[in-house]
Amino acid sequence: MTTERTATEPGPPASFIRREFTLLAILIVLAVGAFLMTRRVASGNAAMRRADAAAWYSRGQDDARAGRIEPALIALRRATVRDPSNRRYRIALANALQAGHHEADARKVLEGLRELQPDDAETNLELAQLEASEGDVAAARRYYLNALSALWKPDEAPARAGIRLELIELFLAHGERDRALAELLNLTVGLPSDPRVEARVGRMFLEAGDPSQAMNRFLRALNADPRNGDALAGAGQAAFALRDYATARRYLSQSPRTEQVVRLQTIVNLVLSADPLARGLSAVDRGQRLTVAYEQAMTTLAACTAKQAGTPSGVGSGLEALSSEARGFEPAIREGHPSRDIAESVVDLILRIEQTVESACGTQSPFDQALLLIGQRHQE
Amino acid sequence: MNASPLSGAQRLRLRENQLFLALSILVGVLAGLGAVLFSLSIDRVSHLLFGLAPSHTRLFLVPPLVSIVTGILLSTVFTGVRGSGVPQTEAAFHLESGVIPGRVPIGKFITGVLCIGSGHSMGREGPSVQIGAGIASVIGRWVGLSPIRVKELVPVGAAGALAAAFNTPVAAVLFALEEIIGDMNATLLGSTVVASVASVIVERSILGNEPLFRVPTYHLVHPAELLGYAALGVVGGVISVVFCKALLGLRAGFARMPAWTRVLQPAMGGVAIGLLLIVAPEVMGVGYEYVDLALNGGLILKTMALLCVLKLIATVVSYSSGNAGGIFAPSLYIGAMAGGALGGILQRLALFPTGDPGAYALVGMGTLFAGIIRAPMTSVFMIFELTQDYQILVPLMVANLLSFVISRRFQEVPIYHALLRQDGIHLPSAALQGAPAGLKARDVMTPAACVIEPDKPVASALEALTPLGPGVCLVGDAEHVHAAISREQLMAAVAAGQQDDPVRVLATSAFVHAHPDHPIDVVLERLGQTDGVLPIVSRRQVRKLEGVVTMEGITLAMRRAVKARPD
Repeated sequence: MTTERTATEPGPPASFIRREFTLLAILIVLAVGAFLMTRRVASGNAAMRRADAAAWYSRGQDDARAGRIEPALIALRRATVRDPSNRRYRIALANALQAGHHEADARKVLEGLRELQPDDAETNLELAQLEASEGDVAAARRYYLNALSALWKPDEAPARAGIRLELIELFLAHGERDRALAELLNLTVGLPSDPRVEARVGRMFLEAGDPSQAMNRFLRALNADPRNGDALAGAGQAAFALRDYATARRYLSQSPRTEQVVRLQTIVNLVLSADPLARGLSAVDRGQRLTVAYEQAMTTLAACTAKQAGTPSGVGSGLEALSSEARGFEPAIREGHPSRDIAESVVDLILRIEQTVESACGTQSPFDQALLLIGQRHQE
Repeated sequence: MNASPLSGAQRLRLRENQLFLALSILVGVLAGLGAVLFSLSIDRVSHLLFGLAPSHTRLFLVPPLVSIVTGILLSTVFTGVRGSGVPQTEAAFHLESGVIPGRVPIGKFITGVLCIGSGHSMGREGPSVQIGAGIASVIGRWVGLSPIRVKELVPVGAAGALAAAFNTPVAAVLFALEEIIGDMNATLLGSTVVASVASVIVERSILGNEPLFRVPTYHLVHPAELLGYAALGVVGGVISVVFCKALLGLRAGFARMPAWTRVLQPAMGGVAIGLLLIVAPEVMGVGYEYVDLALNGGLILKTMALLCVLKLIATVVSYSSGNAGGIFAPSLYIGAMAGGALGGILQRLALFPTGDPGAYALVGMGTLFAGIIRAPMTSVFMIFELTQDYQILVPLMVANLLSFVISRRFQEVPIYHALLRQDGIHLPSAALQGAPAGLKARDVMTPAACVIEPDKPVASALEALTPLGPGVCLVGDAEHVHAAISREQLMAAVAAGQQDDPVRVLATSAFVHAHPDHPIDVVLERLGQTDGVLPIVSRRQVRKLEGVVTMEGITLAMRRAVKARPD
């Protein structure tokens, strides 16, 4: 009964329903139109903001280049606010902040950027450089490794190698030779054959304590560019470290005359010209060389003994003992024709004198260094 | 099979419910689009007027020159759209059954864009709320919804607009419930949520997912840092009180100026703003760029402290002089600067480890919002929505609560309601809105028996109050009541030789009154504070007389009610 009664009651008038649908349709059309118009305006505004940001960025960069850090910071901050998604602006801001010694703020900017793109190589590199400049080696290493493990395109290999070189330099600067060597070995795989890069890598191998790898790198560099000064000097130093003094003299003589090269050259020449045990020497020549070496060692020993006199350490007595031992060889040396056995014993004594003097009184003259190297060479 | 039987009226109601839901979505979309377009237009106009790096001349001239135009528009074409828009929306919801004329959202859009775009230190959220509410009201009436549904659509539009303007949908819903409706338990929760979500979807599809601010990661560095946030709450509360008092005081000052100056008042404010912009262009317009900088360590302590003071002054001047724009964004700006500055000071001086000044700037935003706008739930959720970090809740609540309490202690009436009161509009209190149906003032009021013209001499007025006539008369006329005056007062004045003075000079006592919707207990309490006649005045115009309540009137009304009972 109820159902029947309901059926007879009037529902919403058809005209009302038709009107509802029409009005809703009109509103939907209106909403779509308004949406399209607003989107168009928004796109225009976005372009306007980007242009403003670019203008501020350009001003900021000009100011930064001219050393006007505070105006640069204002301009670059405005650029980042107007176009917050632009990575370049934020990195420029971080650089300007660093230049203005606002390292903490720079770190905040870069960390904010890294939150958005954790694997971005450039951001990680900037952070690594910031941490390296602040002396936080662990953090710098972490960011360098993040930068290295980012996605790199094949044509970006040189840039990636550059980051690894920075990381190696960081390790070397902080005495982490093993880590440096490990990274150097990684680096040599697929390293572009550029003599300058090869020479740089060779020098790093040298600093990391692997002169043979260093020599290889310098030779590769010299193959590509025989006049490369860095490679020539590096090859000379590598040969010196390998105790191949003749080769060292050859490369050093061709390399640009820097202070270090001249010093090494002097030592190398002395090693080669003052060695009493060199092959093919006559007894007279050996005697003369031995006398010169002995006198130099005794002079150095006397100077160091005098310097150490009155100090409470037991070094003085050690020096005295060496002096007594040396005086025991003096008659044989004065005789002028010492036997090879005597010569070897004297060279061994000179080595001990030079070693003791070096540890007690520091590095001595190039001649003393040469005597030290001569002794070490014949001890092996 | 046994479908519940529905009458035609019920089906129509169901139909209207469905239509209301569809309209909530559409209103959300349109209000959101309105808010986004409003914001974009402000940017565009500002860029057009100031360019990239404006000269001092331009900074000084633009605000007053544009304000001359907006002053004319606000005084002639678009009257009633000055200021924020939030109080007007509340008034429309509570007193006008949600009716907002179509010219209001249009006028608010145009004048708001011109005022904020020309450098006035004002916010875009308040105008967006009024624009969204206006769109909702117009659509509701155009579609032919019942008056109650039209009224209900107003906070839906307001929530949609705010969600798009500030990109915080939850806070927008809370704001609509807490501020516009004034009832957190309102049945409109569902519709406001729908509109808010629809609006934010549209906003993000146009502007992208880029947040309004780059918010720093928040950490409470040490439990003792809560003391720092408590200090921020106190500072925020004090600044809120200063802001509200200054705004209401200066606005009252402008209102006291001759009526013909109203067209020029926005330009007067413009001159002051022009001068301020030369000193600190950072206080221009909405200023969210600088809030972003404060949050991210881009401003030094001294700058933040200075901007806090200058923005407060600029906003007070812009708003009081009758320009169109809100105080929502300025409260966040001032809060960010105050918080950042205090954070910087604590970082240097506190005995415990503290976080970045940016963290204090973030909490400061909520703190000032809680103190000025006095919507505590919205303030907490708004910052929580910005950070999406639970860790911030406790410091935020500590600071907001203190700021709210201090502000309420020294500024009893919330700012939006106080602004309406200055305009002679009294909104019903939250308690009154929830009061059960019963005998109201309108049921017991009678026409005023005695109204004396204000300029009538005291001696003549005394003649109207014969011993057999009424003991109390109202001074004024039906459109504007000054006060009630008793025969005893008049006799005392005659005895003091004031018989020739106009009666208005005696009408200096507090204007005790009630509104037609006040319940009988409130009416009786207030009647007890008078000499026997309680004026009943309109909520829309607080000096407009609607009747009086006397004990005789109450007795008669009660007698009528008893007689009307069926038993």
